[in-house]
Amino acid sequence: MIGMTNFLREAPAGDGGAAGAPGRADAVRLTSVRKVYGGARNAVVALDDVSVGLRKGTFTAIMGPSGSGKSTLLQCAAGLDRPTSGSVVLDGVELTSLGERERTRLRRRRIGFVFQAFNLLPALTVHDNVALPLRLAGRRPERGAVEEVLERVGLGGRLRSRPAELSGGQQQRVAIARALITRPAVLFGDEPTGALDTGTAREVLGLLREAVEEAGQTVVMVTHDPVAAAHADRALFLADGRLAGELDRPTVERVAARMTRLGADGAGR
Amino acid sequence: MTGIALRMLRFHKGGFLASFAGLFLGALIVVGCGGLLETGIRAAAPPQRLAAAPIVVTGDQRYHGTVEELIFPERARLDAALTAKIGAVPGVAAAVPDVSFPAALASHGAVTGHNWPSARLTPYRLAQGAAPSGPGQIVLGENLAGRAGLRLGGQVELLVHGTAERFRIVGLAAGTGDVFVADAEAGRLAGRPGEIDSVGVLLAPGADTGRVARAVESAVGATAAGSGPAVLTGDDRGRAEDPGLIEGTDDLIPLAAAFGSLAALAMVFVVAGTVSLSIRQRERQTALLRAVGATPGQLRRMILAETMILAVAATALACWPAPWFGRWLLKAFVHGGVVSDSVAFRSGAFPLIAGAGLALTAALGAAFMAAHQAARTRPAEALAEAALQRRWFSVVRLVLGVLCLGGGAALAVGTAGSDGPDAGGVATPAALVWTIAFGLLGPIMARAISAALTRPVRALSGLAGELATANARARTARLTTAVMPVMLATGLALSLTYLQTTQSDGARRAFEQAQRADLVLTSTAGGLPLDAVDTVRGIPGVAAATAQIASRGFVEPATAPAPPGGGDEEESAGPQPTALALQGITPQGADRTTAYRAATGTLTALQGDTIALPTRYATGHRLGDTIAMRLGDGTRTRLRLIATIDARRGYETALVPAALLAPHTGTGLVPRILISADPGTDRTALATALTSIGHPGLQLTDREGLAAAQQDQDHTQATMAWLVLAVVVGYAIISLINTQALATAERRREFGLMRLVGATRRQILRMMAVEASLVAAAGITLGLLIAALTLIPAGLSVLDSALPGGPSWILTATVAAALALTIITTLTATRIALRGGPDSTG
Repeated sequence: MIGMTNFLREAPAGDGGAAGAPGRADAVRLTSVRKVYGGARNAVVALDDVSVGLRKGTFTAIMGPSGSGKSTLLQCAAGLDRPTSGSVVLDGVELTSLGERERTRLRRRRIGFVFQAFNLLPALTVHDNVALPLRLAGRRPERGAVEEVLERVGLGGRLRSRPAELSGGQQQRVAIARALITRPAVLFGDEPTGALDTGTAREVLGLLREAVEEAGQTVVMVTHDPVAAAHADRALFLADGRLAGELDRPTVERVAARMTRLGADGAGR
Repeated sequence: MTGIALRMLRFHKGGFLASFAGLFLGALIVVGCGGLLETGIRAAAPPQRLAAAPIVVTGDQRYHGTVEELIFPERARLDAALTAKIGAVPGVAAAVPDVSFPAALASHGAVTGHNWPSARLTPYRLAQGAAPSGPGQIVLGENLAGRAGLRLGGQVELLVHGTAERFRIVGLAAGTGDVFVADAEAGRLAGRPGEIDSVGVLLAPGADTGRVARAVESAVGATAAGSGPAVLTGDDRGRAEDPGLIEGTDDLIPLAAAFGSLAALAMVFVVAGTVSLSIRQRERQTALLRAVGATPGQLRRMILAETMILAVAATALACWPAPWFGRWLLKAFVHGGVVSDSVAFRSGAFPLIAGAGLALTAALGAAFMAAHQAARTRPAEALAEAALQRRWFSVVRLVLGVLCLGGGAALAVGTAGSDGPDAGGVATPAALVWTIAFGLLGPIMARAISAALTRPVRALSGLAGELATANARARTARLTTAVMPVMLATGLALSLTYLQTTQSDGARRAFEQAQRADLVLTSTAGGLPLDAVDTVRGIPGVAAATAQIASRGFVEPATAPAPPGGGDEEESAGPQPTALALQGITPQGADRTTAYRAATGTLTALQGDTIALPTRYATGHRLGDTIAMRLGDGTRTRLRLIATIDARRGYETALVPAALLAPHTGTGLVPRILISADPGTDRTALATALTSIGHPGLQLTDREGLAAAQQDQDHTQATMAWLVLAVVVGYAIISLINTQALATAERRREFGLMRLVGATRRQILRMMAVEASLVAAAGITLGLLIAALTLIPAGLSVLDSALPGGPSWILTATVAAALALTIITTLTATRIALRGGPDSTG
């Protein structure tokens, strides 16, 4: 596979300081997070008193059946959405007390995103898409930084291509490169392999795995795919907006078994 | 963000094309109107016939000391002796008198006559023959001679000053269609021997125009305070050719301003619509930008940058053809007879800058509206599979909308309370403010109307209707964007058109109410002498005959507006004179030929230096009081008030004896005699008797003919309004097509999905037809509401009825056109979007 060498290995050195004791500290910590959608009459509880800490330099998969609240959890953890109550601390910063603008600023400095699809602006070249978070922050990318991170994801030759000229797997790799360019405290993925075939999905997951192992990157990924979850260090299970267990060093079989049970429980209600 | 904005522009060309088209056309109209405005403000009529004279001395037409800078419409003439006085000024090579008079060739219609020496001032040269040197000699312009088939040495009969005279053609002048006679003849034919219109000054070699002009001023006794004649140089000299010119160009200013602001307003709506549509097309991209760290402010700046790049390009491009467009408009106005053809189109840097500034401001306003919405995109939407619309409606918008409703209501009250002829001036801005209010409150209104229509539409059109209403309700913002241009086009078209027809009706009604005569006698020879009335009255079968001369005059305030010698700004802002229409009549039989009735006093007392004032203008005066007046040529006069007249507000006319008014009009003649026939008189015999009373060029018109003539005149005035209307409504229609096409094309993906789940092309087209009808119905309803709110007060003011004047087919046609345009455009765009087949879910 592609070697995640210099670029990522350097990454945590400058960024880890803020969160206190390196290695042991939580990159993200959610405490009693509750999220309710809708008004008084048609309220839907998406997250119900969820408390969880995600350690630095680990790869976490968040799993659960549809409607279990896993996407909401990701959005709250990443500051894309504000919980109704509870606290979210990301990289030592309390997110719930921040305004929209400050959350946006924090997002572009400390957080990287990879979505299921539609990750790239079709108007911009691969190079410009990767450089976008830096440009939005008003910074010029360091000389060669964009080229280097694209080299790492295996797309060194496609700098001037437009997203439409790339395959789905290549587009997701560009998205990972974009997420990594800011050397974020946490990389969030929302079904990053959901739209890919098995082989391509494995390559993308491999990239994420390498970022964790070789550069100490923290990765949090929502998925419903046991194969994807098996690449993580730890799998958290959600059902009906509550934590419903977790697995350390998950395997495909154990994850699948847990999911089947959750699905049956869910269906049984 | 400018870099990203540029890249976005290049990539999403299609979506921006609509905005660009809207911006370009809007800027073209706005900048063109800027040029028209400057033309009106400068009122530059470069001299044509007097072009060779660097200095022209003419009667001062300005009413000094008035805030509005009133102009006397009738020519103030000069003493012929002034020519010699000016000729003696150092630096003057020659002072040439200029006398012009209206005339007609018996066979070939109206011509203008001049004294031959004034031909030097153009200059016109003799092509053949010799200059006229005495009575009975004439020089014809070659153009006229060619048209009338006249040759050198031939005879021509000229109808002039109420008589017919024969002339021998002694010469032909090159490059003109006018006629020329000797100096003394010209004075006689103008009816004012010893008086001249102007003096053209030719300079000695090396003389400085400015210095000589000052010397001439002191020689003729011209002062800044306005005593003595006016000494004109440069473009101002054109005023000597046509004293009424400035009044004509005055109309241009409010018209160009109203027109420009209408276009700018339409532009805000149109561009806000297309920009927000183009943003909606890349909704997920905006959400993605938000997710990866673009702040709402950055997003706003990006949208602003995009729109401003487009706007600057579109405006810059529009500045190039804009003067051409302004010139075309002016030409149309000249053609319609509204503005004198001597007015030159003047468009300097100012209208370009002002027009471009207004266009850019409009674009900026539109971008702000659209960007505000885009910036509220939540980043989490990047993760959502189907981006459904939020409610895009802010408190600011609600407050502004309600404020505008208040403004509209205030203007409506103002319209209802204003004089008939002025109602249009208040109603046009009222239409604008209502449109803005409805535009701001559009989301609420469009929602309410489509909700009201949901049930009937579903009942009528089955599944297609169900889908269409579901779409409309789920996507209020999109619905609003589509409804707005329909509302704009319908509302503006109906308000402006019916405003025009209402005012025409008001003028016609006032005219018809004032007219009681069966027949009207006129002459192509410039008019009839005053004693012709007595001749007519003596003809058997004539029950009553009244001379009628129309002019304008001013009631002076109790204290003179400007004491002679003191042209001080502060002093001049005192009580102002009141302008009003004047009619000179012979009172005998006026009760049978006109509708004027004395409220107090009696009209038969209208003899000598007397006046009958409309009741409204007579407040503070009693019968027998002396009224200080200025007549149309500026002459001061003091008249005794002998009667007051009741009249419709805004259509009032003061009456004076015809004998008093005639010398202060252009020809000094009576242009028309109103005749009432005895009942049972043989009309043919009467007509024969009337046309053989020994005056040349007599023409007899009956009531219908008169009404038709009045309507023609009315149409001339309406030309401007119609033209403006056509351009603004045309713009609204283009944007309607533009927006519907864009809004439909945006849904390519949705159509693809529908086809995948089994919808046939036909079903999709049906659904879109129902949706388009829904959009059209909502837009037309709102447009009708705007029109009603504008027209009801106007109707009340002008016609005393809530219904506006004008034919009902305009309403039908407008509604049908709006409906047809919306449906046809939507279906065409749908058909194009469906062309790719079900898989092309681009």
